[in-house]
Amino acid sequence: MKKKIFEKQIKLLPKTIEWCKSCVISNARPRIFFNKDGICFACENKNYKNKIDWDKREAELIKLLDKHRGNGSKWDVIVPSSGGKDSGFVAHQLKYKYGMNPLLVTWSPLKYTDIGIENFDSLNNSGFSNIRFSPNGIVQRKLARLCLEELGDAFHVFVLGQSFFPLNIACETNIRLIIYGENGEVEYGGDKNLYNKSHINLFKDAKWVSNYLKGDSSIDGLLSWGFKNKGYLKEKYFNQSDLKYHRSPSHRDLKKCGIDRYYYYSYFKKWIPQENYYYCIDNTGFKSKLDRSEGTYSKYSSLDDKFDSFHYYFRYIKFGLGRCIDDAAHEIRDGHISREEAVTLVRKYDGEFPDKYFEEFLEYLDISKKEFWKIVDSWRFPNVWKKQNKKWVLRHPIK
Amino acid sequence: MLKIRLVAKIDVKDHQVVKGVRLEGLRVLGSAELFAEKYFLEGIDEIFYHDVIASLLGRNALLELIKNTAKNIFIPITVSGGVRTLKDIYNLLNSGADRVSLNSEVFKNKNIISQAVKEFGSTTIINSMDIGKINNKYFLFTENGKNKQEENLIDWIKKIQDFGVGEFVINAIHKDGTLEGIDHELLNIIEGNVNIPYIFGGGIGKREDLKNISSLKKINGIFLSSILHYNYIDKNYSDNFGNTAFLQSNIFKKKVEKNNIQSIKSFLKKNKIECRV
Amino acid sequence: MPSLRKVVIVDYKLSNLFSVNNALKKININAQISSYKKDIASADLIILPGTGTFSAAMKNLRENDLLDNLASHIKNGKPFLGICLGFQLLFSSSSEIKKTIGLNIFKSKIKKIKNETHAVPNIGWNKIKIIHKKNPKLKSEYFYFVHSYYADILEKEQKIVSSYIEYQKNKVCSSITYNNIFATQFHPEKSGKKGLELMKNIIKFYK
Repeated sequence: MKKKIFEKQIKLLPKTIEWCKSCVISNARPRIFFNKDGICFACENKNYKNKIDWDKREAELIKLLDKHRGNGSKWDVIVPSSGGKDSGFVAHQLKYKYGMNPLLVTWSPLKYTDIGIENFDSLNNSGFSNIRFSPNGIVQRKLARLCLEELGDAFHVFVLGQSFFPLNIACETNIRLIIYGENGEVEYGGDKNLYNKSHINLFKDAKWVSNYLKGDSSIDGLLSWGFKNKGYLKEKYFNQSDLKYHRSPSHRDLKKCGIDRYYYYSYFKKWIPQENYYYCIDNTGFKSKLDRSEGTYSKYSSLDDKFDSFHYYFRYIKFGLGRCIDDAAHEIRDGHISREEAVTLVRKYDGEFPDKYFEEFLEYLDISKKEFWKIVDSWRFPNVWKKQNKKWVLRHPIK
Repeated sequence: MLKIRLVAKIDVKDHQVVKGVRLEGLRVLGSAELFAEKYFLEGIDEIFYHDVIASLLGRNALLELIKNTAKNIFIPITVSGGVRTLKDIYNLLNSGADRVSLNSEVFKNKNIISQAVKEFGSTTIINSMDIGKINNKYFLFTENGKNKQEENLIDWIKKIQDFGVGEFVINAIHKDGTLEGIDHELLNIIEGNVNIPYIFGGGIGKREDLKNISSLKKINGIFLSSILHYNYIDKNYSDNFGNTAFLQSNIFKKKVEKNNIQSIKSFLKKNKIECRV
Repeated sequence: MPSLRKVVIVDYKLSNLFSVNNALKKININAQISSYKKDIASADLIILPGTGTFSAAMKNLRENDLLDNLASHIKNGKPFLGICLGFQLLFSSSSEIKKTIGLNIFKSKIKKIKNETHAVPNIGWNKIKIIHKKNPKLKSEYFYFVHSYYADILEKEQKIVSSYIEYQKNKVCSSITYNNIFATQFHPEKSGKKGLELMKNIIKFYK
């Protein structure tokens, strides 16, 4: 098995995979924590949403917004957005309920879907200015391939921009308030130190940031290794300015702009993704897909990128956790579905191969089918997979 | 003169009324039994219960609900969702359902309809079609909109009719729950290609939406969901699983034209469409 | 006046009996559901409901050995209510599925509705038109119909028709009243408040 030196999460794979008794997450998920009763931390706290004084949290939000609210002549808050239901909800509430003047900031998907463009336009047409950046296509594609091979996730190159582009724009426009939608770690079960925190401190919580980015907050280490070891990565294609937004602004620049944190709207409002969907239908013209996303049953999440499903597929290969598991686990904790229903959904849809855009994905990365499957297999680890009748099966399928 | 019956389509999960948009989202709006009873008292012509989880879980859990409903309402009850075998149909009819609809199973086992018609009669067996529009083309969907099928719509209609099914229930799922109005293009395709009665719906949000159907001949009914449910919200919900956030708080609102069954029927009559008043 | 101590709903494994029973319960009538000939034989009022095919119905009635008792109950002028298929079975024969002989109380035949101006089957609500205002008290209201076959009443039997509907440019028999036989093509137990009202009147008619 080829050694994977850049994907630091792989080292933390448990020897025996166990499943949360309450939801459908396994202990293979990075940064998850199970208590002695076999229940994951996210489930242990699932009722916390019902115990919070949301009026109090709203008061905190208003206090925060009051501090930053402009007089209408300039943008006063950055909302990282894909055009989806979550950022749509945040943006619309900030503008129409709280009188802010949001600037939406979009890091382009690897490859837009039709519905992604439609929803982006609908949100734009609901009354929002938007700065959208499309990174250099050649750079993006080669980086994506590198990330696929060495991190097991082509999508990582998107995640970098998603994390850092808004920070860069904040510095460049001097908008110090940045509000994301949901705190993934709280909603999907990760670092328990992040509960009850309204924001991430860029300096103090740096460790979390790097953990979130598979153990390395910077692309540079991987990139210089790649120049030395990958024939398709020639330094001459990589103009440093093209990588500007894949990186965080320097600490010095951040301090100069007075930016040391970003907030989560899910801290201030009871976060129910399904209700964000209904809200956006009524207020921003959002449309769900008609056919379900591959690898899950939902049709309203993460619709904008054709290659998004490969991110989940590789997560399934690496950890035995695909897309359906996230959707189902969240719905269990929201009290929307029972574990029985969730397990049925997971057995049916999780890990489904995203065939629809496979050919396009191969072309995007400039690899052959054979090379693709070789990469896939290089990410199968024995604690997750075993061979049965010449076929790969999960060693510990969901119980 | 065109005669229409008004059907209340009630999507059900665990005895609760759920209502999505484009077959996504399962927001709970109240107790199915209470909704059905209310609609009955206000003059609806038929209740259509659709179990949204049945196909997935491989069972139809409506039996108890149907039994209870049939004790209190005296209009036809049609049921659908996860109907796979003749035994399923028998159990549903025995619980008080008058008609049973099949969709997903027909794609797996084409013979099921003719078998069911032979056993129970064509007036008891109907076919639901969930039809969605993607890039200007119409597709059939199964499993409550989870899976897209590749069959040609018109060929499919003709095939199902040949099996002897009694009626079609057509849902324009790209409109479902949007309150945007009827997809007239789809309606005309159906009208032009069926030779049995059919019920049409999906997207009806205002009385005006029903204005132009009087020129049709084969349509037999219209089903209504959001336009009724949001006007009849009942805060009686159980502790079962479900997205009850909308019911629990006052934060989430829904704009819908004020309507009740009688106001819709009066509108139909005014527009030269006969219905039971 | 015959008493109505024992009301029996015939169970011949082909229909939604509970609707009829639920409706009777709603108007405070206790009925027994039975497939046993001894219950049929001792019934004061027999209710024959039904949805399904004519041929399957006759087959089941025959297999449960109910035909004789049904026929003699009717011929002896005892109260009988037939609903939908139970109405059609009173006639001489039907061509549904295959030509089948019915109870043959009346000589008219059951035929398929021809697809002329509307689609077939007739599913939905039709307003009945009253022919004779005899008992039971029929009102010109909307009732629920669901059928593909209808009773083509012979000239000589026209007098049994108590109401009809206009369907496909024709008059289609919706109910018959003859001595103690009352039968409807429509489903009073599924016709809302008006249907329940009619059922009350039917019971009154027999008491």
